[in-house]
Amino acid sequence: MATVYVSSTIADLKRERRAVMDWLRAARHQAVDSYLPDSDTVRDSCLDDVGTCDLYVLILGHRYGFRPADDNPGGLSITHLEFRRAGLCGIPRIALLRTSIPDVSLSDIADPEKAAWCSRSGRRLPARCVRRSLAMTKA
Amino acid sequence: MRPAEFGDDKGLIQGLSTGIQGELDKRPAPHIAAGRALRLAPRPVFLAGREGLLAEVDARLTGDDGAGPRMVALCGLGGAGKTSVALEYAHRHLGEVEVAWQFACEDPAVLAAGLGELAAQLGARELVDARDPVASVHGVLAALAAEWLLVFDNAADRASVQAFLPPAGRGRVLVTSRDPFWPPGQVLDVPVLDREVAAGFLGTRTGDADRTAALELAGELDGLPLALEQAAAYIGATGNNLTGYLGSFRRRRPEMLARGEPTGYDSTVAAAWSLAFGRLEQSAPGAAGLLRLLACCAPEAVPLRLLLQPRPGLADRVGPQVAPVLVLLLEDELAAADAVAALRRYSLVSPPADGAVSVHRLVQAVTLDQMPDQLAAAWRQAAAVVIQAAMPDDPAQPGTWPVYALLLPHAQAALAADSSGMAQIASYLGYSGSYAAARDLCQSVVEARARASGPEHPDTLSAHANLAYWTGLAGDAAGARDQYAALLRVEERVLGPEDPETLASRANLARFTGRAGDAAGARDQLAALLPVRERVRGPEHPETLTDRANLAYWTGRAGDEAGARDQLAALLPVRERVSGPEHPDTLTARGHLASWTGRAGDAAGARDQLAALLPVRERVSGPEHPATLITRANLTHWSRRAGDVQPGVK
Repeated sequence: MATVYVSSTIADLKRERRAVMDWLRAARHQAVDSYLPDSDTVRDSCLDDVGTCDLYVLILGHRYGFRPADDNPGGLSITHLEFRRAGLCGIPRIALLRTSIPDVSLSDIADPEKAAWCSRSGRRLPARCVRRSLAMTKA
Repeated sequence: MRPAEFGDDKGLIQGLSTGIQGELDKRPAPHIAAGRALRLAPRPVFLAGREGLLAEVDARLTGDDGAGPRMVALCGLGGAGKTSVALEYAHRHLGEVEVAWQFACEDPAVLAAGLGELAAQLGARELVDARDPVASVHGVLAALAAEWLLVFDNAADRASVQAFLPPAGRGRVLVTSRDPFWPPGQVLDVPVLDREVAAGFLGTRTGDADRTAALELAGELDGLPLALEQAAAYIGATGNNLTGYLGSFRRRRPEMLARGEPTGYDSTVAAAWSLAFGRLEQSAPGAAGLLRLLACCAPEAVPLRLLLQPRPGLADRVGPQVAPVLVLLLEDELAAADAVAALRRYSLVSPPADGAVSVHRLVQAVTLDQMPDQLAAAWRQAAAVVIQAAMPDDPAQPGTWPVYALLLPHAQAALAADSSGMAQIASYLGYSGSYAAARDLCQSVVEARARASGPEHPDTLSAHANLAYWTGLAGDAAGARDQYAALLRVEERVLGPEDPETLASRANLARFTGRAGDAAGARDQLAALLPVRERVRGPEHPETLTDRANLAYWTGRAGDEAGARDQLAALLPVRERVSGPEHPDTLTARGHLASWTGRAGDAAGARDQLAALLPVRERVSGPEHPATLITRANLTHWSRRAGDVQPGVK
C-alpha cells in the first residue's frame, strides 16, 4: 500500500479525480486529496501533504488553475506548486495527461501563458515544461 | 517520469495502474526488523467482496484461550481466491505478529524445505534439533512470547499438512485447500463472488465504466475471482474492453479461458483444474464420469437422487465409452456416493443438499472443453438419456410437477429440441400453468422436428397440435383456431380424416372457434364431429362423451340454454354408467347440468342440484380442490338468484 497524493485542477477534472480516487481506494492505497484552493493556509497545507506521500499523481487537463497571490513570486498555480514540491522532495511523480477537451469554457487554451503548462509540447517533456513555464510567468 | 495520455476513463485508469505499479516496483524491499521472520507473497492488488470473510477469519483466529494455536482452513473451488484472502489477512495483521511465514504445500518436499528455511531464519536449528527442522520450528514457536502467523497454502488435504501444524504456542494458522473435509469449526468456505460485486471488480480493475457489460461478463464467469482477474488482466494487456472480451468469450470460450496472466494466481482458469481432472481420471474414474455427466447439465442444482437410479436397458442407448462408468453410477449407490465424495475433495461440486449438487459453470465449461469432441458428444447423449429416463410419464398429473420442476433446467440444457422428452417438458410447463412458456418451447420443438423429419411427419404434426393448444391457452384463441384449421387440412390428408389425431384437432378447432367468439360455429363443428366420433370410437368412449359435453356447452353459449340443459341431462346417466357416479368427470357433468339449469331459468333447481353435489365434491376431491371451490361459488350464486338470504356459505 502506498500513500498517493492526487493533484489536479478542480473545475475541469471532477470526474477524473473521482475515478482516480475510487481506483486508489479499491486498490487499498491511501489516497490524499488536494483541497479546494481557497486560501493560502490551505495552499500551505496541500504542499505539506505532498511532502509526506509515497507517490504523486498529476491529472492534467487544459486548465492551469488557481494562482495564490501571496508568497508566490512565480505566480504559479496550486497544482503547479504541488507538482514542483513533489519533485523537490524526490517523490516519484506520475502524470496522466488528458488529450480531449470536453468543455472549452473550462480550459485555458486561449491563454498562451497558461496553456504552456498544459501544451502538447509540455506533455512530452513535462519536467522541462515546468522550468520553461516558470520563466514565462516570471517575465 | 514518463507521462501517460488518456482520452477516456479507461485510459485514465490504465495509465494510473501502470504508473503506480511501475513506481512501486522500483521501491526497495521492506526492511524486516531484526528478530522478525517474514515470508509472504505480495499483498493482493485487487480484492473485492471479502470484508465479511476477513472479519470472520479474524474472529476465529484471535483471542488467546490458552488452548494453543488457532486454525482456520479456507476451502473452496480452485480459483475462488482462497490464497488471496489468506494473504490479505496476513498483511493486514503483520504488525501484530513476530513471525509471518507462508508455506507452499503442493509438494511435501517443498513444504519440508520451507520448514527448514523458517527454522534457519528463527535460529532454531542450534536451539532445538538440527536434524529435524519441523520439531525445531514447533519448539521455537511454542516458546515464543510474541504472536506468530503461518499460512499453509494449497494443502491437498488435512493429512498432507497434519504433521507440520504447530501443536503449541500463541499462533494463528491459516490453511488454504480445495478439500473441505476439516474438523468442525475450522472450515470457512470461500465462495465465488456475487454478480454485483464481481461486476464492480471488473469495472474498477479495468477502468471500463460499461456496467451492463460488466454484469454480463460477471454472469458468464459466474463470479469466479480467478476468471475475473484473468479477464481484467487480458483486457489491460490487449487494450480491449469489457464488451469486446465478452464477445470473444462467448465465441471462443476454451481459448479465452487459457489466455491472460492473472495477477496473484499461478495459472489460468483452463489450467487451474486440469491437475484435479487428471488425478480423478486415474484414481476415481466414477468421479470423473460423474463430473462429465454434471458438465452436460445446467449450472442449477442437479438432482442426482432422481437421475442416478437403475434404468434397465439404458446402457444400450449410450455410447460404449460411457456405458460402463454410467451404469455403475446408476446401479450402485455406494459408487455414486464415492464419486460425489471424490469431487467434493476438490470442491468441484457443492455439498449435497436434498440429493442435489451444483457445479460452477466454468468447471462445467472446462470439463467439456477438455474432452475430445467424440467423448463430449457421448456424455451429452448420456445426460439426455438419463434426464429423460427420470421424467414421470404423465405431466398432466400435478403430483409429477415437483419432479419436472427439478429436471426442467437440465432437460433444457441437455435434451435435443426434437426429442420426445422436450415435448414432455413443454407439456409439463403448460399443464402446470406456464402457457406462454409451453407455447414457446413447442414452437422450437415444431421447428426442430420439421428440420429433422419434415414438416408433415406425424411427430411434427403432433408437436404442431400441442403448439396450437398452448397458443390458445396462452390467450390467443383466434391464433389457435387458425393453427388448428391449417393443421387439420394436413392431418386429413396425411393421417386420414378419421385418425384419432385428426379428430382431436377437429374437437380443438371447435373449442377455439368458440373461444374466439363464434359459439354457433363451435356448436356446428361439434355437431358435425359427433357422428364421426361415435362411429370411430363408439358411443360411450370418453372422447365421445367429452364431445357431447362440449356440444351442450356451445349450444348453450350460442343462446339455447334449455337445449344445453337437455343435452347434459341426457348425457349424465351415460357418464354415471360409464365412469361411475363419483368419478370427477361425472361430477363435472353434474355441475354443468346445474349451471345450465339455472341459466335456462330455474335458479332454485340449479341451487338444489349444486347443494346435492357439494358434499360429494368435498368428499371425493377434498374441501379445497378448485372444482369444489367452483361448486361452492356456483351454489352461492344460484342460491342468491333463487332468493336465499345467506346461501351456500358454511
